Amino acid sequence: MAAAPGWKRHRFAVVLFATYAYFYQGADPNQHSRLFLTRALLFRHVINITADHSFTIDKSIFGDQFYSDKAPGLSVLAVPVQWMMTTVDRLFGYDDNSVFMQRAQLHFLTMVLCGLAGVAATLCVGRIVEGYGASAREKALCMVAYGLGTIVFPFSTALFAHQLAALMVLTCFLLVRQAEETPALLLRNAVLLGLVGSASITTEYPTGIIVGLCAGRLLLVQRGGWRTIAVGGALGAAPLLLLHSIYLWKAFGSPLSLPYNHVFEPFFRVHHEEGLVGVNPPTLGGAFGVTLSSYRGLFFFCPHLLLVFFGFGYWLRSGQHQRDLRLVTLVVIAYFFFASSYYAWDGGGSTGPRHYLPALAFWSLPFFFFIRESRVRFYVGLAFTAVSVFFMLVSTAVLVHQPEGEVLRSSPLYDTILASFFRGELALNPQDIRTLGPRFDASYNMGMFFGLKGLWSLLPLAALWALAYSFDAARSLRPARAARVS
Amino acid sequence: MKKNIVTGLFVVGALVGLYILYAHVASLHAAVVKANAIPWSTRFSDPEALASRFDVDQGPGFTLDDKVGALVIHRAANAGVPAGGHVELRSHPFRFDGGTARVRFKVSGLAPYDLFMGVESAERPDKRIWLVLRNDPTKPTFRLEGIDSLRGTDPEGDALLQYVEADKLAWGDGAEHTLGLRFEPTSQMIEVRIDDVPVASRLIGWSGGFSGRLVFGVRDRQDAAIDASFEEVDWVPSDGRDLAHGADLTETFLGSQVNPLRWQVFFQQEWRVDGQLPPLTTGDGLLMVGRSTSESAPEITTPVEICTMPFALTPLKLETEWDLHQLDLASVYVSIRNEIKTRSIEMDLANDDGKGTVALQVKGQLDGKRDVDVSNGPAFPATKAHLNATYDPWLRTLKVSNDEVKVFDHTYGLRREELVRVCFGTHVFPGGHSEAVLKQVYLHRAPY
Repeated sequence: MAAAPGWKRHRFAVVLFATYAYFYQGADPNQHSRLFLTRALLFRHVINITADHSFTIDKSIFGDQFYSDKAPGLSVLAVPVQWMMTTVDRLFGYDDNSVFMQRAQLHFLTMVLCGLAGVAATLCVGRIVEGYGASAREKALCMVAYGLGTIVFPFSTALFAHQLAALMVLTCFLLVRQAEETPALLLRNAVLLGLVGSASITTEYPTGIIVGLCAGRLLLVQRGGWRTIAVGGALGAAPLLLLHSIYLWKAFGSPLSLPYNHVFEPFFRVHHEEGLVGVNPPTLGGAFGVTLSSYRGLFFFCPHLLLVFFGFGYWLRSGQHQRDLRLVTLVVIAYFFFASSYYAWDGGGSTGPRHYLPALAFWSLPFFFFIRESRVRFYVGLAFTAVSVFFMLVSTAVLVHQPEGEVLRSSPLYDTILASFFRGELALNPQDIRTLGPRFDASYNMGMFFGLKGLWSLLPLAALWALAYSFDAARSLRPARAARVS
Repeated sequence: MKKNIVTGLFVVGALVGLYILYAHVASLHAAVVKANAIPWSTRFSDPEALASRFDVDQGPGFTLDDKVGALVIHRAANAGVPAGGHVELRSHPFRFDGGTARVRFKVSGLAPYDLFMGVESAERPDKRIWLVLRNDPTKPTFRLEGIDSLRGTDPEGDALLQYVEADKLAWGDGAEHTLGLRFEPTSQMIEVRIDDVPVASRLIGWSGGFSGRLVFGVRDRQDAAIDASFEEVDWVPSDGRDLAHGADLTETFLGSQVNPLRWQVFFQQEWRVDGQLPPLTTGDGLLMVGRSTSESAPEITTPVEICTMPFALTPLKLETEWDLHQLDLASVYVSIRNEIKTRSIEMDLANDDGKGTVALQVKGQLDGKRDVDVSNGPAFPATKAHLNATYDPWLRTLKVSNDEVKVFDHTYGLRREELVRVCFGTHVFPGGHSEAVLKQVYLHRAPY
């Protein structure tokens, strides 16, 4: 029986979400810090995380209180989800403090805030390339390349803010394009740009670079409407920026004092006191590290992104959507400078340069210009994407928090991830949501959860993809077979 | 112009692509090299060992003698040199990819100086981790010094693990001791081992893949006599397979080896009892030896015990195989107990009457009760045992069998998802003696 059209329309999104939800990455200081702020806001009605601070090294101190050292956006957005979970738990008499429920809650929060953000951002990418005239299979390849072939995949399975911020900046980009195409929507979109942009900034401060570039482009293109843009943008941004300033003022004594100015750990403090909260002029090590290195290099982990160089060339040659090309080029370069300027450009324990993630969607557009209108280039893109998806899958399945090392020598993908994967050792993160110290059951995937071992635990995920697409695959083979017979 | 930009982009893309291809081939090669890394060991009974593997940084007043079957470092008291002198010996660089560094040494007498060993980057010696024994006359202690990330700064005067008392260990007695550091880049853990017993661990941000040196030596804190001798220095690369991850654990203790990421070892610090895990030269298994050295010992003591890392209790299946060499007024046991030791179940193979037979005894808090209940099972000849158990924390039922004969079926108090360890060890009564080999452990934990 053929699948219903509705199901087919949403199939990719559903299966992609299920893929993200399939992995539970355990905890780490970054996730802890965000989660503790959520719980402090909801349960204790305070903004400090002093009660839980001993679980995390990612924290700030002001006076005698500890605070999350992260931008608070994600934690605030998590409050209603956490409230809903707590209410349901109480309703059914579940013990919130049990290890199982603690993990289930972190897992659910991650699904809602990061998994859904990953899916939505991937759909946005599909929508943009469709607007550029992509065929169904070109669109599908662009979405797979972005959603499963980049570090979007691992970071849609952990409670980091990068993916949520990525969705927000992509939304800003879409709002700007729509406002340009439909000037009647200028005020509405300016307000929304302000709102979403400020949400992005208060979720991940550096995304201000992309938001600023988007706003700058809108001002340049709609010069005549600059007042509308300025007023609308300010109106949209004001509520969240005001709330954020109040938060900073209450926590750190000044509306301009960022959490990163007060980090507690001496190791972090040393670096955050340099430059602009740890951002200095770009370093050669950082530039090499985030692009080419076997340690955190984007091109190393996601080889299909290599084709973006060619894609930019084809895009430029095509003469189409040149305004988008200029903005995308600026975003890619500007964020590259930020990512290689931050002292922790490698993102600590990370798969690839996670700080670069919010700009990654913009790489999908030149990738589309590489694969379009050429059968050969499409299959080259498909082959490179397959490699990227494999690397991202094994990284997500084994350990998103890949160990720190030296930029020139270490290769966590080969040394740790692939070696462990082929030994059947998955979900290695020993950091638990509730227990101090390592635990060897701190992370898992849903196959392991239901008792499958090693690589077999990935079988249900493979079965899900096979089930979702087997009908179409069979149907696509049928006409060819019929033609051969005739 | 546009054409030139496009051409430039294509050229850059091709060059970057070539480099990435090279990087993958190089990484694969390095991973293979790592997988084939071999351990090395230097024994200073070989007079050539020092010169062939180590560089020496020798402070004034110190003498080194490697011609006496060990590397002896000596400095006389009141040598008239300012405090802060040291002798540091650095191995030639080797590829650091995780593993265990260990030194075997003796110190003659307690004196105010530090003895240390550790690993540092060959290119940036300030990137280091040292385990320091403060050989203090009144209170020997140890601490972990260095940085917790390869890119971190050296916290001057600070430590990763602060001073921990080591006075329960008999330092300064001229006997052999070992200091060890085990690095697991996969889990970013470092484990401190004293006399081959894990005593502490810490998460650190050190990964593999760089050129490292093993460092050891002494440094003074006062103008006091220093007399230390090093006998052996080892580096054993990790094969990265020690995480004991997942629901099942099958352990055969190859040659009495105790994997420190699976097990924690506890010896009772009590002069009236002696516990050992001596090497086993024939076959697999863990030889546990316990002896009460005094008739005035407490009623029951636990000379030695090994425990799994803590985990959340789910339905559990345990199979153990024992060779019972000698159980005189002693027992071997398997226990499941929660982390705070308020609830436990213990299955003892006990010979507490000295008659040469062994009885199976199960102790634990019955469901809803705080006091320990004891159930005695049948006796059998004391040679071998297959002690198997299942525990369902949902129903709280324990089923115990010996040699496939069901012995007990009781309801106990351990709760689901409670953080527990499974422990294996030996108890001795006053004057008792135990010697048993835990041949094999199979532990299956059902998922949630």
